[in-house]
Amino acid sequence: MKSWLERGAASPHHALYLRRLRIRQTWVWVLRILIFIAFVAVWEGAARVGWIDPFLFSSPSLIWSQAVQLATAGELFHHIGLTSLETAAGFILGTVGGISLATCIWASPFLSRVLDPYLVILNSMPKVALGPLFIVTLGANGASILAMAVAITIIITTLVIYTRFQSVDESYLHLARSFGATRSQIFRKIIFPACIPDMIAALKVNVGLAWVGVIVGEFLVSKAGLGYLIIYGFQVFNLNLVMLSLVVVAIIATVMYQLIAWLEARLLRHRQRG
Amino acid sequence: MASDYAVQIEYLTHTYFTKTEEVTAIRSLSLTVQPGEFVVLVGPSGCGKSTILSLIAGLITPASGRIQLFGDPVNGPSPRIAYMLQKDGLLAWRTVAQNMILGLELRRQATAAAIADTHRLLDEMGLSHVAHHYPHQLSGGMRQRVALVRTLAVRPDLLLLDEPFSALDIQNKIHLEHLLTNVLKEQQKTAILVTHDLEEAIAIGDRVLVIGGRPGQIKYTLPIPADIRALPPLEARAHPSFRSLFSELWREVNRIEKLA
Repeated sequence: MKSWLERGAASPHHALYLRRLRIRQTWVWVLRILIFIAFVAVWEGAARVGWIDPFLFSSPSLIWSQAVQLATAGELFHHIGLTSLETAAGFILGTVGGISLATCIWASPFLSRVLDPYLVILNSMPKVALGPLFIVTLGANGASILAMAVAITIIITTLVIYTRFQSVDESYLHLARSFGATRSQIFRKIIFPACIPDMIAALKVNVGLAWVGVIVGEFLVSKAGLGYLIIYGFQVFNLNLVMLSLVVVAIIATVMYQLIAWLEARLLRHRQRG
Repeated sequence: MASDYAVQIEYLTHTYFTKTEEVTAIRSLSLTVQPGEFVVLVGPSGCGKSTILSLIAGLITPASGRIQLFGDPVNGPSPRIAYMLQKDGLLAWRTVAQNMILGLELRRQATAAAIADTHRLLDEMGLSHVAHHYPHQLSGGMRQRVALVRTLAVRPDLLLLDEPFSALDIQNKIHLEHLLTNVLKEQQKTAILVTHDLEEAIAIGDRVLVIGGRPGQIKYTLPIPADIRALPPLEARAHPSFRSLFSELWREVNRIEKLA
């Protein structure tokens, strides 16, 4: 116990410091796990004692048996795979598309002036309201779902990234120009790399937004996927299925977010903080 | 006939526009700089000192007047010039070795030989051990030395220095002044420095010009005596006549500032 708490200490004082630090970190984790266990236990208990109606609010054991049943039928992973794929494709397309659009707008300051009000209108629009439009143009299929995820992410990405492009420190640009840099050189060597942290930040936000787009898209058109399971479970009043889908969405969304956070830490490990 | 001057400015006027007004930053300014000369511009903030450098660098176009560099008219950034600013401008995602060749890259001159030369320069600045470090790992003085290497890497004939040392503490400042003046003397380069530091102006300049008024004009010229010019920056500050030069410059700058 002692050896673990004080491992790597340079002096008795440092050992004391490390010990405090690690004990606190351990407590953080213990409490996190306790909160989870308590939540599940209270839910399960309340359902069994009859404080809440398990028919409406389900219970951890019912969700689990629902999961086992779907998994053994082989359906669960099909739904998970489909929705994950749509979401990943959605936020990657939305982010890449947004960055490309921002680049086009940056390339022509005049164009950016002209397009500005349209971007603001598009950004203010609730994108899910475009759902029917996507269905009539793209059909009631995966394309509409993807379009929804892209629509929800691409405009805000364009606006944010374009603003970041413009706010790159003027002294860098002055310096590059004094070396006779062309506009395209300034973009490639300075502005674009300077904004990579912002692009990854956009990617992080877009993961969450793409989930909204995909789930709403699946509500509207799909015959498979987690959004479909939610709406189907609701229609046949199988709230266990709804709850299970919500739990799965929470887990996968977190995993995706963590993947991006890991990517961010890797790509930006040499950069100055702040 | 091509002129023998490194820089020849004749009747230079620069005006810029905003939505509400038209501001004349410089009016009818004439100035010549000899090859190998170190000219320092001092004066109150907003008197157009930095504008003069931007005009010489070809980053902005004057309203009227003529600028010639080594006999050629300026239109756009010249490959014979390199600029150094108060902000080091080191790119956070590039190592020192990658940062110092930025100018070479932008001018498409990053040949193996040029890069090897730049590494030698880095070594002369006592920085070869940090070649693979990132800027955030360096102190302010080291960062500005890397910026100096980047400036010299493109082998400029004329250096434009816009308060390059003003953010540094006195030790680093004098150290960098020393490195800079050594390189300039060795390689016979011409330089124009803008600074607020009157001691620095006298310690490293050959000629100090006080710019003042709105629009800016040359109000006073202080030639630095040869015996002070011959001394390195630290020793120059200890020269017996340094104080009286400083007082003279101080008096003139203050007088001009009050007039404005």
